[in-house]
Amino acid sequence: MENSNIDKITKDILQNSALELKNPDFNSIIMNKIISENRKQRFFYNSLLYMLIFIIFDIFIILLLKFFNINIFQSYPENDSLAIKILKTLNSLGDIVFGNSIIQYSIISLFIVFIVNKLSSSVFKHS
Amino acid sequence: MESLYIRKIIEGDVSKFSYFVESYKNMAFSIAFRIINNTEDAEEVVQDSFLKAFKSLSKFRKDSKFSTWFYKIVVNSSLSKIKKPRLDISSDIDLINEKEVIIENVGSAYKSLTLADQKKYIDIALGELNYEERLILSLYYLNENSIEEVSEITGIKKETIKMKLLRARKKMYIVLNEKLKSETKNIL
Repeated sequence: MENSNIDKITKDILQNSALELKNPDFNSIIMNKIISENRKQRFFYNSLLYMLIFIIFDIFIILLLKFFNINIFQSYPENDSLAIKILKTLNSLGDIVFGNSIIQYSIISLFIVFIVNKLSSSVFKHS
Repeated sequence: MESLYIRKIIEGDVSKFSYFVESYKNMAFSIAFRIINNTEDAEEVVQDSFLKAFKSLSKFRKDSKFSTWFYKIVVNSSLSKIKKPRLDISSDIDLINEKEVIIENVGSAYKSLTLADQKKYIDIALGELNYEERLILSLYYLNENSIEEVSEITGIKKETIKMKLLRARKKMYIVLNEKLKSETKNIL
């Protein structure tokens, strides 16, 4: 018997060994897992993006402070307690951050980026 | 069409992945079941394989078919499930010519059975083969993969695949012949 004939008989026999998934929810289970995985990946990349933006923002602040020759670590009297020194430092830092229009603009920009990202995530979620 | 869908998925259109799930789920399940021999575990492996394929879709090189690449993931996941590191790639197989009479007899006796009985006997015969033989027979005869594709999916050399295929086929016919003989005796 020719090899092609044997192959044909074998193929005919094995056609009946085909299996089918009986679970009717299989497709939706997979797609839900994939959508969830996709969200995880997006969250991971977004986190990386935010981290990068904040690092750049920090560098920007440091450069700005250097540029304007602002020293946030002022010298305090010896008799001031550590808590008071920290409070005074935070207070001067607050003045620099919130009293400077460039930094205010940067914070607003970051806030806008955050809102746009949240909106796009929400649109993606419902699409 | 598949490459277009793959591009769209990578660009963020995840819904296009449902095309691949619909197209390949049954054959993937057949492959996993032939290795694992358990319905629930095979279904779980198919789910994991689709997820793995999605995660590494950007690494898929278009020099092979998506199905070949995906079935390779299914085979590896199934082997991990049954804790077998890989398929036996040795080629020291005794090559005995199949008796043509057996094949012809089995072929005609098998055809005379009802569809339900045909399914029953082929499942019994495949059940008596080892997982590797079942897998190679399914890929080559059921899914109609070429020897090259079977080799790529299983990681076994082409020459070895040819020999293993002959041995698996022979074994299947011997088992079918015995089972069908006893069936005929029962009827008489």
